[in-house]
Amino acid sequence: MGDFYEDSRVSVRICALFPDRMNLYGEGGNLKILCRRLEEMGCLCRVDCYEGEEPAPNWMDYDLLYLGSGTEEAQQAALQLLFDQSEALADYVESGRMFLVTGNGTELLGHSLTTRTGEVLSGLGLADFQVEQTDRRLLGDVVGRYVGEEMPQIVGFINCCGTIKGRVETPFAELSFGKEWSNDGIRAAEGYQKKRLIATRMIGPLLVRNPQFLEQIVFWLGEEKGVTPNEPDRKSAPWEAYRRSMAGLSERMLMHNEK
Amino acid sequence: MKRFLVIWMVKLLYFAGNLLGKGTSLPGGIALKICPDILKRLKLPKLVVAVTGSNGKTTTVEMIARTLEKNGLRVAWNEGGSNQIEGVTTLLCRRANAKGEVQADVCILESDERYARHTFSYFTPTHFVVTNLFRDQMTRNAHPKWIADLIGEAISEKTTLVLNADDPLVAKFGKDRPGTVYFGMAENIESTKEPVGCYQDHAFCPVCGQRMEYEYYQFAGLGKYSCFGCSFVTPPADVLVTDYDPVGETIEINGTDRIRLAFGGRYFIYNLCAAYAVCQLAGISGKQAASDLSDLVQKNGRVAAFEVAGREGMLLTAKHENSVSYDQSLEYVSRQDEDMTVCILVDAISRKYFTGEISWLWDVHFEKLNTPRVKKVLLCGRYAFDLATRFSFTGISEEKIEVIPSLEEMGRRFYAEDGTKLYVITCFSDKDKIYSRVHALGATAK
Repeated sequence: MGDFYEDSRVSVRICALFPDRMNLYGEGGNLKILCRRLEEMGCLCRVDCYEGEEPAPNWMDYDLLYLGSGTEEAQQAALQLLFDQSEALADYVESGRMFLVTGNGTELLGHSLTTRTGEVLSGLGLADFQVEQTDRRLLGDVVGRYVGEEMPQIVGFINCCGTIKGRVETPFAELSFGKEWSNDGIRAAEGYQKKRLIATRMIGPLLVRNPQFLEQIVFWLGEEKGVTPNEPDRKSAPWEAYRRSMAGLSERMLMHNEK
Repeated sequence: MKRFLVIWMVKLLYFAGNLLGKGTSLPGGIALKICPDILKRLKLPKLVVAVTGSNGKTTTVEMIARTLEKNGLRVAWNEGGSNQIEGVTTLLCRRANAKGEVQADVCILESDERYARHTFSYFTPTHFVVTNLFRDQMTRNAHPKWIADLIGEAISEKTTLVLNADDPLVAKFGKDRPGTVYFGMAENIESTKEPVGCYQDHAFCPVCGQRMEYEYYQFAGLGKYSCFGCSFVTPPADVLVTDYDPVGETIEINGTDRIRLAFGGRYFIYNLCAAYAVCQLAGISGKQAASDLSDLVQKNGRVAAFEVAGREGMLLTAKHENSVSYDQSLEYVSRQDEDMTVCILVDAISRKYFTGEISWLWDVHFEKLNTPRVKKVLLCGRYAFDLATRFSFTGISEEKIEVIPSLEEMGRRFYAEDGTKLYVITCFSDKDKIYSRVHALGATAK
């Protein structure tokens, strides 16, 4: 019976949260490269956009939600527009579906967000931390080990003004370079994970810059869908770019350590 | 007495530095250490104009200064582009007499958008020009709104603002400030109904955060906007481009004064409007300003011709980490009616150290090169593979693209004579890597 549907591709549904407001650091690239990779695997990829101007969809219809970075104003607008979805999003995360967050989108996930003017906003409550923003911008390259599956190190860049208060027991990465840009600026922990809620304060095209992590994401999505990813082309441009980025940052790490 | 000594020290250091070919910020830096409030102790002319913004500061300042000088005014301006407090201190001390009086009729001060608040905590400019606020060097600048907040700290209530009406983030400074002078551009043949580009920074109202409606766009979110949430709209422009003729390369201001464009392309026009507005504030008639601005030839041309083994080439200078600046160069290239090879060189994003931050490549509208006239695209330099990844989403066919990380290989590739003209787009910081491999023919006005 299954043969009848053999030709029809497995569909993966993605919802981009605030793709206009929260697209400050090239975040759009993440979904482009993710869809391309899923299509290479034989999946059909559909991306819906949620800008908060329309009624919220049923999140359970999606296999992956994605939230990126924005200005502090955009970030607060996104929080306000998403706030009444807190419970629905918590259910979504509890169900084990994937929610990828990059950049200062991560700052919305905790219990509270204290803005630069000292206003305390309630967060989405998906993660066990508080965030405090200041006038000091945290800017810099980072390299870290993904906390979870074994894979080559993650490269990224932090560009935000918030510090995470409270110890995160399940970070996204342990930073080996750029520790001053970690969650609290002291320990190596960066980002947050719970089930398949994967949140890093690293900005921009995280999946573009880290094809090894893109493979992990499509592996998980494939696992849900019963699709095994084909071997990626490790000679392709993103892999080559990753190696060069890693080499450049390793040089800086050495210089840094010598100091 | 201290003021007197500091002024003379700056003059001497500047003179010595000039002989040694050193920068212009060092004397001012030392002066500020000895006398931190030296700027407060100087007597400035009646007209002091600060110019800031993401793109076009230097060009705008140069246009204003040269036009005013041509009309017989003595102008003190930071010609070398030293636009932080140290550079401004050097300039003003250098031009001051023993009594601390700056010997000029007008000061035109290019001001770094992040540090203007330091400079202007010591004195208040009479006028403050803001050209635009775009995504620019976000690895240092965070984002345009962050910069807008910092500029806001530099603006005194006593200052008259001269603002780009079509840039909502800039026009917001003039909200509830009567007397603000605005410049802008009416709908023209190149305006679009839909936004063009990779991101939507201006889509949301800077006042209330709601989505805005645009009647038309000029480029990069500049245009005629209105917010239904709070009634924030494009303010009426005092200096308005009423006609833009891209073929004849002229604009007409307020229906009367026609100016010939020293550079082609509409990106330049707002700077010209800002310059025109300031010239009028300095007492030059609109007609005279238009005539003088038409005759200006920019020294720091963005476009320069070269030749390599008999092959013609053009070097276009953009700024890495500044997508509008890249879009400007891409637009220029995409409008050329000839077969071409386009080389994009991204080798050093930061001059100081390697950074892996390439998110800005996703903001640049490289799709503009997807035209039949573009026969080959060479992606060169240390970030060639990051470019290649980005280009794989432009729709440009793979056969046209060559990825060349090595600069030597890039140089050799320039010699390949395939009947196309070579256009190279790169940053100021990577420019010499091209010039060392080609025969420069000098800047061109167009």
